[in-house]
Amino acid sequence: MTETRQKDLFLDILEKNIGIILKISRAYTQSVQDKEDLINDITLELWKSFERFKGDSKISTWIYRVAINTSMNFSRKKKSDKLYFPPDLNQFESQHWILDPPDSSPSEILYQCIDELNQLNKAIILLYLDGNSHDEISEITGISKTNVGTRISRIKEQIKNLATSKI
Amino acid sequence: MELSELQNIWQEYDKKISENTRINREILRLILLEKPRKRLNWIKIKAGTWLFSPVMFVFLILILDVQFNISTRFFIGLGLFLPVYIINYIWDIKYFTLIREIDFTMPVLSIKRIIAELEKYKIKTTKIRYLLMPLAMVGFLLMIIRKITFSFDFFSILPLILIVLVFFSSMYFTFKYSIYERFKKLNKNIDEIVQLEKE
Repeated sequence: MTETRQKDLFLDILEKNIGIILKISRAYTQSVQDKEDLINDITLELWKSFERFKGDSKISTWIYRVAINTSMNFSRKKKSDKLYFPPDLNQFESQHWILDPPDSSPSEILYQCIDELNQLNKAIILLYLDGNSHDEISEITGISKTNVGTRISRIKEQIKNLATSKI
Repeated sequence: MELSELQNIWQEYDKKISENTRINREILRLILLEKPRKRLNWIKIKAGTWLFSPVMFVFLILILDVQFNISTRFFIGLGLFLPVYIINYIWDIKYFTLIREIDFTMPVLSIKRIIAELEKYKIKTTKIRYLLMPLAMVGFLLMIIRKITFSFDFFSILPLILIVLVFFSSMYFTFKYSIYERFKKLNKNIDEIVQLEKE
């Protein structure tokens, strides 16, 4: 496959699944700048592993795994691998489309509740809210199906309490 | 608030994202491909720098025109400096290779365990590195000093004081937080992950 063809294919996949990357990067960062950096990191990891992706799993499973793994290691990596990009038009454009809704919106309250969870539980509830089955969550995280079920019940309760206290 | 309500909020948010991100494909290409490409090049440059550090070290010695005194003292110095340098070089390359081999397409728990183990490896090698560093420093000094003369005036002791000061400050900042605590935390994390993987 030529490089241009490969890039086009990759862009098609990104375009279709950009929502996954945006939602996960929002849950694991606090500022727009960090979110943009994390989106870059996730895309880089996806691009690096794209050649190795043979379609053994669903495309969404591959994207979820890479996005969650990169997000969980984002803060650790942030300090050692920073590269300065001068402010340019791209940055303006990117910040424009990754901006979040105002703080009072319900989705923001939901994100605030998710933010209180630990990294693994955060990943599980994001996958659950995105409509992934217990089987899929188990495949992405590596936790057994039974354990996924137990954890989701606990997280649901935790989020319910947090949401009630925030509204 | 019930979970069904939360899910409705989430679905609404999802819909909003899809509407907002119907952007120009060219912008998407620039943002999502060009920046990561630059970053990838930067990572490759960094990897190259590590790999060629011995060549750069020799180059630096040549530029600075460091004069070695080939005598018994030189060989003792070399015997102290070279093993420490080689060990450090091997550790750096090994760590870099391990980092590069991390495959983010693996399940989340496996990556968490690998990262925790890598962090443990890094702390362990840094600790030993600091213990070995004085040997390398003494070795290098023995290789370049022609005659050991020592007087107890301020200007003779100053370079030595500065070397010791820099060494200990660097050690302090690296190990500002207790290594024992960090090890304990990392081991606990690894145990928890292994337990979760078994369940």
